[in-house]
Amino acid sequence: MQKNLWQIFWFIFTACFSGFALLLGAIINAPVIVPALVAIIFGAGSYYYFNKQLVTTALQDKESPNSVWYYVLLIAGVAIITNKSYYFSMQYGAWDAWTMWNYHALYLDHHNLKYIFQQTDLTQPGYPLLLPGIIAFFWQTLHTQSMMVPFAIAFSVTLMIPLIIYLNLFKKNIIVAGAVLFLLATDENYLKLGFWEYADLSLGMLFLSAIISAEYININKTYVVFTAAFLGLCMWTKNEGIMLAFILIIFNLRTLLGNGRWKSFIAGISLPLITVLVYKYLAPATDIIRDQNHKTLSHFLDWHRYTFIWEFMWNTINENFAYLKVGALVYAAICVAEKKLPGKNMLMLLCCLTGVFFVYVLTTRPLGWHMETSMSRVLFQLMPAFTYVIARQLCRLRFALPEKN
Amino acid sequence: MRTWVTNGCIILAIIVSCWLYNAKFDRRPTDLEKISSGLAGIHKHLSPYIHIGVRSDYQDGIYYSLVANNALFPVQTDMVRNYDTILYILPNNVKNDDTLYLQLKNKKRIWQNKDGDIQYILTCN
Repeated sequence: MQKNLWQIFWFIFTACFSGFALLLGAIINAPVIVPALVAIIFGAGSYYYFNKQLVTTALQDKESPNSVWYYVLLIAGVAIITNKSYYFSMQYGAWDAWTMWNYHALYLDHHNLKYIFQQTDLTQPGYPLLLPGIIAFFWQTLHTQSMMVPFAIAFSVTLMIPLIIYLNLFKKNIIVAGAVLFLLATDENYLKLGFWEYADLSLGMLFLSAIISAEYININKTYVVFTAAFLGLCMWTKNEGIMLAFILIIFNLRTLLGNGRWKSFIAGISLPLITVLVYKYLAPATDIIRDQNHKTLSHFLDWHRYTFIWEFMWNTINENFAYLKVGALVYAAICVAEKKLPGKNMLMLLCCLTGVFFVYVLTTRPLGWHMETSMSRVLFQLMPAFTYVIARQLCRLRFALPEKN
Repeated sequence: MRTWVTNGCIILAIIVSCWLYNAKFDRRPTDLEKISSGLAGIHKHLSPYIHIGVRSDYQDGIYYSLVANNALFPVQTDMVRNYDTILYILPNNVKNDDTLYLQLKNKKRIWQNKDGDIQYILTCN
């Protein structure tokens, strides 16, 4: 893995941890300087640890024949996203941002924490608190409630997803890596969702980071800590993250836990996992769990429900992810030509997609309304991972690239 | 070199985006619309914070309904989802007779209708 990529992972890891430090500080009524210091010490300590552990296997920062193009594409991609932020940014984010994520952040201090479960369903009081925790951390340490903070976090996430894919793929195939960077940097649906300040792309970024980290575990088992931490953070970002993390663990059970790696796995996942378990015990159940009743079986057996969801899902994919569909077709063509099954990550993502499908089968809310308001966002949680897995396969296609020395 | 350039690009992009955000939205004081009455029913103990949602009905003038998230009065979610725009987060406890500030995105539309059709619905329990 490139040094700058694991540095980005460390940055995400530390930023997310600051939210935990703040929550803990709020529970014990510590002054805000305490979580700030804990976050700084944790960040510095973890950087030292990762730097020491990964230095032997990190790809050296050597210049390659494509170096100039690396800089040109990187700067152009970052400049496009930054420029677009002006046009797509919203002062307070969109609906979920102000009723849930930014709103919950207001409660994360000692005096107001007790109110957090006393809200109406409208604000989803049982939702996990990773994003509100990070927002509250910066609000409280900077002594402000500026709406620029959630915007800056949303911008960082929107920027990081294409960059993570680009940084991991450019040495394999700079044309594919650059194409992905520009596709995402100019994808209006992606940018809009990013600047709505929702948690869906945060979950997508963490899930993508977990997948990429898992690919490097066989090179250096320190990546187990990253992978496990990202999976735990997925669970603490949105409820769907629990399902995604569970599926990824199942598909990578031996890689994550075998050969004594389970200790590193537990070290990485323990803090977010324990937090999620305690929080879920205290928080009111979400509607999809709470409202299940005798109709659940009839939902399972209702064939029209399946066809309706499938048609809606297909239309949403066509509207939002047309380029992914083309990529998936090329992916399939490569598999057919090489007479191989799709890779493990692709099968895992298809499994995740099936899981999303069944969430809609089981929903107790009006199906049409539920899909109308959430389907595209839920698919965007998986989009970064799908984009990466497809692009990685496409990297095997050789274009008119300069010969490597 | 590559690491420094990449990290520098990211940090610079975040700084520039914040500057752009500030340039786009830095007009808060002139946008605030005061709504100073009709909130006597808000119960302080329900929540330290309140959000205000704004809903437009384009058929017959423009109507705005205050939507507090903490059961001040029931509002159907699908109705609220037709919101036009929102809102100002109050940083402190809401007390009786407090002034709530309602920030309206489409200021032009507000001013066009200021003398006639706007009706603030402040029904509280």
